[in-house]
Amino acid sequence: MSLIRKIISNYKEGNNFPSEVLNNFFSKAKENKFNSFITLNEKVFDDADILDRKVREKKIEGRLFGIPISVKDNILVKNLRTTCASKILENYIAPYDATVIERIKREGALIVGKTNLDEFAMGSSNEYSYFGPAFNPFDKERVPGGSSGGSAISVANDEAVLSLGSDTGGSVRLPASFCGVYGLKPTYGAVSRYGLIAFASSLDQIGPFSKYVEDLEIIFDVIKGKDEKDNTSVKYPDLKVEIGYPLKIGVLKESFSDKVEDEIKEKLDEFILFLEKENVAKIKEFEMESFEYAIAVYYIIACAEASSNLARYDGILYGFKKKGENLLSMYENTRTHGFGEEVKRRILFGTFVLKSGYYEEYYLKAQKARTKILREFLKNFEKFDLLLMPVSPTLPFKIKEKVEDPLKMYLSDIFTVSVNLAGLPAIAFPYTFSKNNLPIGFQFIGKFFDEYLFFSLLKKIESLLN
Amino acid sequence: MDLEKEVRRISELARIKVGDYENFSKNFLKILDFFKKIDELNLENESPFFYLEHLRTELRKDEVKEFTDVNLLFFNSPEKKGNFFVAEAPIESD
Repeated sequence: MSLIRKIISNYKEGNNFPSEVLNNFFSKAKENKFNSFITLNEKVFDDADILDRKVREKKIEGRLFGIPISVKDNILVKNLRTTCASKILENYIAPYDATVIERIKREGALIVGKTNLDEFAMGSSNEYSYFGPAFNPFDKERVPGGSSGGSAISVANDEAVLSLGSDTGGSVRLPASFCGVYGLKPTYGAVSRYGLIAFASSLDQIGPFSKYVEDLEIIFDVIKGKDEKDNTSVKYPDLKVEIGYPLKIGVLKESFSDKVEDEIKEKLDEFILFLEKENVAKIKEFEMESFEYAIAVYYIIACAEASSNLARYDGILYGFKKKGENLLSMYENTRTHGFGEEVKRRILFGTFVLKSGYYEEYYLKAQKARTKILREFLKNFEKFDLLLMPVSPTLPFKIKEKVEDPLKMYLSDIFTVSVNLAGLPAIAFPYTFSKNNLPIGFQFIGKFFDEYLFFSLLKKIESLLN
Repeated sequence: MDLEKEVRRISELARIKVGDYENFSKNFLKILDFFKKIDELNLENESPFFYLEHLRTELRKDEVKEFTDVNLLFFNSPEKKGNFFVAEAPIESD
């Protein structure tokens, strides 16, 4: 099933025009029932008019022709406001397109607007936004997950067909899972980061959201690959995916620990039985010694990189400025009043772990532990084709439940951060619902450049489940 | 270590003021204790750079590309004068 193919074939048969399809999604986005959007792209109807003409002239070209897409508000779309959900960038207008935006525009995508997030993508619940929290579309009293909460909601609630978010420690997968949609965290380097506002450059990757796995494959095809403007991006290898079923899949032992809610464990058990019964996979447990250390390692490295990346917000070149008596007090006023509490906390942690005297104690050790995490993953891939685990240890939690206790919030990322530290790809997929009708999803983790293995496998699972 | 003193020092370095240093330091310590958990790992023979080895960085050609739209650099600036950014003087005048 592909919503993209369905929409485009309707254009080809003359059943619809892009401006009509756009209007269906845009009007829901405009309602903004779950506070998923920070800025709407009112000018997108001019782009749709051009595509309407092409439909009349039977010149339908482009893999995303007339497909409404939303974009997380830390990715630059030329001439649109890009706030990062921060006061410090409240009025910042993007002077150029990110590479991913250039690529989707070239294929005919229609950009609906910019979606809500935790300020500078730092958070797991979308509560740390200067523009107010976003809400879970399945239960408005609960969080949508973060940091790309608005992106996940926009897809779940038909405000866009697809969305682009970013995943530094789980920021695509967690909201995808909490909102019942697919979310991909690509291999580090598979997608250009040019035009993504940097949080932690060695961990950040742009990743897409969709309701159907086939659509995720279509947009990944468009955005992946080498970009000379990002020299950490790589040429995506030309691999042919040939799957021999049953696959050997490892399930992380800690998926069944007492830190994970019972309902998630029960459904994971059920999913494993299903995969075995359908002869899709043979499943065995695996262990990772470094697993329980990953959160500490992640927060040390992410905060260190953030403290350096966010030094550029100084009130001079762009963004919010609060005057002072001299240069130093202007810097302090601007940064103290421009950043939110969580961002400030992370910058201060980052400054601390990089400070002389503490560097060896924290940052250097974390970098070595990062190596250990990757090494353990690679060792497990000698035995398994893919790894399986929950995305989150809990169901979507209540708004304000964790916001006062940063450590509790950080632990929401226990199953997601190690993938970013290792640079591996992972995909969050929706599986079922809890008794209270909240989405439950899991994730597969692959070797470098296993994205197309995910797509093939999940297309098979999607068709078996339906 | 006097943590509150350290927090005041990093707050200076990061150019960010904290409202209540005593309370902030307490919470800071809680998270630092959690970070200390990595001391339990045996990291003796680990390299701090191994995780980068699968990436082969290709540098682009060192060619000059002309950039003419100067206005693009300035239109987000909070204060400007002609083709200059305005900032407070970095040195005190007598």
